[in-house]
Amino acid sequence: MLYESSPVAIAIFASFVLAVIGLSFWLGRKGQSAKGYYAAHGEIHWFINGIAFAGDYLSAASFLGICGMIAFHGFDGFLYSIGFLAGWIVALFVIAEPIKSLGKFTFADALDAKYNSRGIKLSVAISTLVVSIFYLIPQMVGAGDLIMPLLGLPHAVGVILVGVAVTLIVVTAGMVSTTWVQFIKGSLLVFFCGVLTSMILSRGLTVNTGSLEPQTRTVTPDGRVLVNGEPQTRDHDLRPVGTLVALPERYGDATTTGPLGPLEYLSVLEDSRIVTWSGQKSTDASGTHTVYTPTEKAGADLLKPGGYFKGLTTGKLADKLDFASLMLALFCGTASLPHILIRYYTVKDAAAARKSTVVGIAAIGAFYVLTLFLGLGAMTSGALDPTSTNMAAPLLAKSFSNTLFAVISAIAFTTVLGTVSGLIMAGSGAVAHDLVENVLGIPMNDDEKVRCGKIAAVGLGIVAMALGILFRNFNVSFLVGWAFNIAASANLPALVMLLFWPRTTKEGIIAAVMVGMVASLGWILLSADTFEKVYGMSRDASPVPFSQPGLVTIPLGFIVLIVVSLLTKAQPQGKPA
Amino acid sequence: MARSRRSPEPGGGYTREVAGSPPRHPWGWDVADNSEPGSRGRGRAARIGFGLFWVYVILYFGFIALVLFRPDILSSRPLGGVNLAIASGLGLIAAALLLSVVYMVAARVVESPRRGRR
Repeated sequence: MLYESSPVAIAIFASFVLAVIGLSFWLGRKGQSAKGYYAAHGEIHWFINGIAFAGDYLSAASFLGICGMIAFHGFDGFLYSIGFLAGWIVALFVIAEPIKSLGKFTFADALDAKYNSRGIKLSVAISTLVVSIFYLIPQMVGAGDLIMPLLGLPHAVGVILVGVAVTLIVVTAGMVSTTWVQFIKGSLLVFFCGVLTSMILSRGLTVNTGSLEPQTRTVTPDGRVLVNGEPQTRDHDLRPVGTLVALPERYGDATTTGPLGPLEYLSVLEDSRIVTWSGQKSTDASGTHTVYTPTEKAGADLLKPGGYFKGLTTGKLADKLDFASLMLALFCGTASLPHILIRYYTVKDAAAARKSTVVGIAAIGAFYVLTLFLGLGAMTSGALDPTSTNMAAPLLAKSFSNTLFAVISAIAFTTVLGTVSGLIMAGSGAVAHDLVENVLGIPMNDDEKVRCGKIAAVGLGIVAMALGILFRNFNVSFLVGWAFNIAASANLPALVMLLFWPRTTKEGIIAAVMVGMVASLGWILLSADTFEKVYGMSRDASPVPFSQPGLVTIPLGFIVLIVVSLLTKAQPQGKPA
Repeated sequence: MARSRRSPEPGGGYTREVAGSPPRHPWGWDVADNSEPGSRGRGRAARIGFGLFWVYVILYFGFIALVLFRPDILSSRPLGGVNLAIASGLGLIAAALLLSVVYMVAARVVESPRRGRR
């Protein structure tokens, strides 16, 4: 669909971004020591840090992707929420405190505290970089998807805007400002989602009998876009979709329910009938056609698993393994994400870290409950763009008010800003602190360390922008799933075994990290989804049985670590390797 | 932190900073900041955390097992309101929060400095 850019939207948007950047410059006037730059002086208050956890974690995938998935496919989007949140339990109960006691600046230090080995530093730095980059890609793609309809500008512009803004923030003030960016983002996100949810509940559910004619979008070989055969213009465009067509019988002839409580809303929805739309692509001489067709479904069928993970209802084993593998990767992935772990160093002790994680879980949990309602509200809003699941949440807001749409889009944009800045921090830490200082052995004084970190941040920013533009057609949640799989496969086995198995050797850790990373990466690149969407080849050509490697590569990491550790000499305690 | 550094000492020798007591098994971990009051208790806190972790594992993977093998149960609506799928999802979110609060409180209790002990 084509969108009109509104001056109000642009104004609100610009002021948000400038406010955030301004704040970071102001905060950046604090000390610039290496410790300060990377670990925020160890002084962040636990409540601030807790909300910043939420701001850090709730990325474009959570906000845009999950809402969109629920809006188009029902319950399965919620499965992602459940998996994402559950990962925090692993982070809190298994990893949290041992890491803080072990580590100094980065995740690599934590893993290395026992061995002082260049091999470990190198392999973990690489894994941190790889995971950070994979997590960056969906954020940048999401940024482009936000800017495009909001400002009417091309996808690449959004990507570049984010890249430049974030790099500015990170380079001027490092961790301190990213904590504040994420605190602001976290609070705004939860607050405005709360506002939107209460608006959804007070609007209630309304019968909408819009047209159910299939629609076609064609891209001709010479790049023109046609809708239903005619050139696409603002007046001749795809119709918005997503409607409730029948209320439960107990409402009789009424076409609207009026305000509903949260549980009421869910149960009414389950008894209603809803029309969802899906697209089928085909290519012929006159171009690539996507035909969008409506399907009427019972609410009860939408609000149970199987809308997106078709194998849950068809019974195909490969699909069931795929789903289990994804849920495992989500569960294990949170604790393994470098940009999450780094946040543990910004509070002063274990008690503060626990408190901040509780605050984080509360905020994130509340947010996921709210997104359930946002997704369902969007599903029945009649305002969805059939071509884009990512736009469901902002378009829902637009159906209430243009101002709210602008605000939500600006918040989503700060969402991306916050996540990307956290990732660039983790990545620049890996490069400057781990690779340059520890592996290459180039000694640096405090000033040089900080400068090196900043140069690394700029470099990473450029890489992120380039990849965000290259991967623009990808589904955002799919890419996040990649990152979680790789993180869990590479990092978690090493981390867990280091903490709980004294016989772990440095060779075991190196092997586990490298094998886990390479195996999961290789699996993903050989999966049917990649064959179809990246290489443009047939799904059947893929040698692997399902797309998510976690079920295989996470245990593989553990096995490799155990085997290699048993095969290599046990470290005498206390001697550097 | 295990990092060896060579620096000339006055008097010409070399100093090597060797790691302090190295990390051992977390149940009796000698942590870097050993002087912190309650650092002994951290082993107990970690044990509580570990137990709570397994509670959640049962809840989470139990839910996944239902999704995979008995989806019909998840479609049922025992209270006549929302179905079990939604209820479980909301329940898992609430359980995560509850467990993390339990942990925070338990850890604080276990780590509070105790007079007259040892």
